[in-house]
Amino acid sequence: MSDASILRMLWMAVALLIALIGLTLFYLVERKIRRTRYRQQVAEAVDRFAAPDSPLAEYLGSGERSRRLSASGEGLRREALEEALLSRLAVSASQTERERIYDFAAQHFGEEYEYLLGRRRWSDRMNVLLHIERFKMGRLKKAVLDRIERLDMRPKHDDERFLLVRTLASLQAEEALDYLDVAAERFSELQLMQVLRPLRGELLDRLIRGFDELPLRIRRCLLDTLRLGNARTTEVLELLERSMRSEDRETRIRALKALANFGYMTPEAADNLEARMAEGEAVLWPERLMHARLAGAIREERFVPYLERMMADPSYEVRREAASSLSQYRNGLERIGKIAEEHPDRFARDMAVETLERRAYERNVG
Amino acid sequence: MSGTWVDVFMEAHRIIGILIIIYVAMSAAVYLFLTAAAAFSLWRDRDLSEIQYSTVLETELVPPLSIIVPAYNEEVNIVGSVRSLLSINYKQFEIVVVNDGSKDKTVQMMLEEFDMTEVKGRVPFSGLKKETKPLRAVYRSLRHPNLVLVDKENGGKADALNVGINVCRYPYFVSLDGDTVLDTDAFIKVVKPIMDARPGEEIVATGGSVGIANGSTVDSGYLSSESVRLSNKPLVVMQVVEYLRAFLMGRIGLSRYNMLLLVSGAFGVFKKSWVVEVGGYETGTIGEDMELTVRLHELIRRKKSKARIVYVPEPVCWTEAPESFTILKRQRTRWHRGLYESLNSHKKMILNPKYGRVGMLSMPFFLFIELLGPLVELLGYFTVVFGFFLGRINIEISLLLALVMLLFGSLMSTMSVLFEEWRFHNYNRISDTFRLFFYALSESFWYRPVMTWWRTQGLFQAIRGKKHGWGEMTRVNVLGANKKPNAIPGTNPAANPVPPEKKE
Repeated sequence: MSDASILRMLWMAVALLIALIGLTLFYLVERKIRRTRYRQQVAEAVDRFAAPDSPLAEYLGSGERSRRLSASGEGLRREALEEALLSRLAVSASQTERERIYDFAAQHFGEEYEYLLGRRRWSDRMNVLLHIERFKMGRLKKAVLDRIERLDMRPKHDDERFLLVRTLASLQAEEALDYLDVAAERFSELQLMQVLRPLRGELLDRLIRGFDELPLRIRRCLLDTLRLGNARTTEVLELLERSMRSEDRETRIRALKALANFGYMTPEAADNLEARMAEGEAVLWPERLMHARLAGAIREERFVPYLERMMADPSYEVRREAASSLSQYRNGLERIGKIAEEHPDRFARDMAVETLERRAYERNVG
Repeated sequence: MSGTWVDVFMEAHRIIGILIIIYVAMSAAVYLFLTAAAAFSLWRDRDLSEIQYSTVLETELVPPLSIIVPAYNEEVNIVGSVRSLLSINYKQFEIVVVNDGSKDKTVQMMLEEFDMTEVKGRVPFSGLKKETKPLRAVYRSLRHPNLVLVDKENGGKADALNVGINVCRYPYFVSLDGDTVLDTDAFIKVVKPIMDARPGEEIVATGGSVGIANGSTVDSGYLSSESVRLSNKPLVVMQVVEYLRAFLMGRIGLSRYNMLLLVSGAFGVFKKSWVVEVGGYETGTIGEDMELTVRLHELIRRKKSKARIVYVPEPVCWTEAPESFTILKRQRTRWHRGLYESLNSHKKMILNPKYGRVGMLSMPFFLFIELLGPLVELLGYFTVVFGFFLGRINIEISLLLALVMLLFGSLMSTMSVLFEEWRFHNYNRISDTFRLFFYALSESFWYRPVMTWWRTQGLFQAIRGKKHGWGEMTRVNVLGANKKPNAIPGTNPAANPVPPEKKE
């Protein structure tokens, strides 16, 4: 290659690079200006709606849609209104106000959300789903379903699939249940719980009734979800007691944990618990821990000897749990005091002392 | 006679010249590739709404975390740090403060402030098979049941972290570095990949971007993205650009292909069982964070596991950058020595097909581009100067070539400013953007040559085996939670956060 042609090439490279840098700058500034303007609008809208005499406050108070209200949304970008409403949702707790915000959102954003759901830009679709969830826009159920149907099964769409299913669940759409098999295969445990957690009423009952047909991962997460949701029906109790005898250790642990939260179990189930506790260290420690916790929640005299033995458990966590359970019992602290003095095991004595100290402190502070 | 010598010299010069050109072309290709990979990831996520976190935060579904805070002579900061940690936006966590044999009142401060009492039975039970310095006592707070203090003999930061790993209870732990200011949602952001891991896919570690706090207002130990401001000092702005480039380009690109070699020690989440299996932190090295990450990769390969080490582009913590050349120089030469050490102790992985992409791509990347890059660059400058004196060089061509390279470097930097804007828009003022952009442009002309020189020095120090003075006394700072905003010590080395791990 001659020097001249090398030079020509280099000059071209320089020109190209300068052009690229220039373009980047231009794009950057353009974006920045647009964004700044947008932030300003949003801030104004939030301010405007936060004022006590704003049309929105009027509407939220009375539920009446005034002409002033429809007019107040004009000239504002959707995003600005959205944020104003969201921040309102975040601060105002009253149920009627919430309902009114949902109504308002459904009326003003419905169409646009439907259109946005079909947009090519991924973050647009994600953002709109998050908003549909927030504003509980049941009307868009069909649009969400359409979208999920069109999604192909490649794993790269799993993020979107998850958000779609979660949105369906939070809209209480029964179609959400159709996707549980896919979910069990593709979603992480915490994602599954996010899908199961919003389900209520009939949908949840259906899951409980059909528990044994559900995929294993869904079953485990459902138990956790019931615990977190404080579900307290006889069906749930029956399910938990059945699951505590499951073959699968993870299922058992979660059922025990949920039962401890439930705070009650039938005498037959208590027999079963006693039998398991009698097995001692043949049971792995996370399960022993849950046994101790459950025994503390049930407070039946027959568990006391087992809890006392667990105070000398090889695992610190189990000892601590056993001590805290024992202290729930009548005369619990006296029993622990006795352990602190008389128990042959040093670890048990240490744990007893630690527990007594904590209780004494809590009494003083409380 | 002399004629042949000149010939040999000329020939050598020619060959070196060609090698350098090949090297430059290849590293440019690597950077282009990383940029493309990062652009691809960030483009998808651009302008994603922040509500994605708030939805998750409100649930009790987040995995419990053990936060390990190593502390050495921290009587001034420790209480504030722990207080700000206790108020984090997170549902389930415990804090394990490890006092690394402080000579001041760190322990007493903790005991008094949080009503701590000694716990006897809490023996280290994670089963880390590594000797640690002996424990003196373990305390638990009566007021906050999730606060634990471990008092131990001095053994350095890595040793303190190992003890923390042994004592903590949850399956994932967080390691925090000195002088780190956290983002308000830091924990939920780094934990998200763990929450989203598909069945069968295990997340061994996650880390996030580190930003520069200088110029911003830190509010009770936290820095939220609304209060981020760009510093007025050119040296700091330059480092902001540098961090953006390193994190947004380098790490996103590498993480995409599971080749991330560094989960920053400033703030990382690790799965305890894996860290225990590789034997915990290595004591007595500078870059214990990179060293650990490399060993985790090694284990992943050895087990042929599909486990991943993930990087979260979100800025999750903020650190104070050096504002003077002296301290910056000390930091950079130390970093370079740390890099050398990590690569040196794992040389068998380099270009070893057994270690897959990590061995074949990311280790060589760190060796040839990160570690040796500065040296080659210097060599390049010399070659050009020599050629000029030998009259063998077309001046116009070499100047143009240099210009192309400089512009290329500037383009990379400006792209990273753009990436920041796509995804985070932390610098909200237009003037900030302009400043970032023009500093990014100017980088190649003053900042980079200086860095090149320092890093080369660091490389030579490492090869000569500069080791004296490490080991015996290791300083561990704790996140500067109650550090006054904007009070950035420039000249006072005692208060300076910059050499966070080791005193030399």
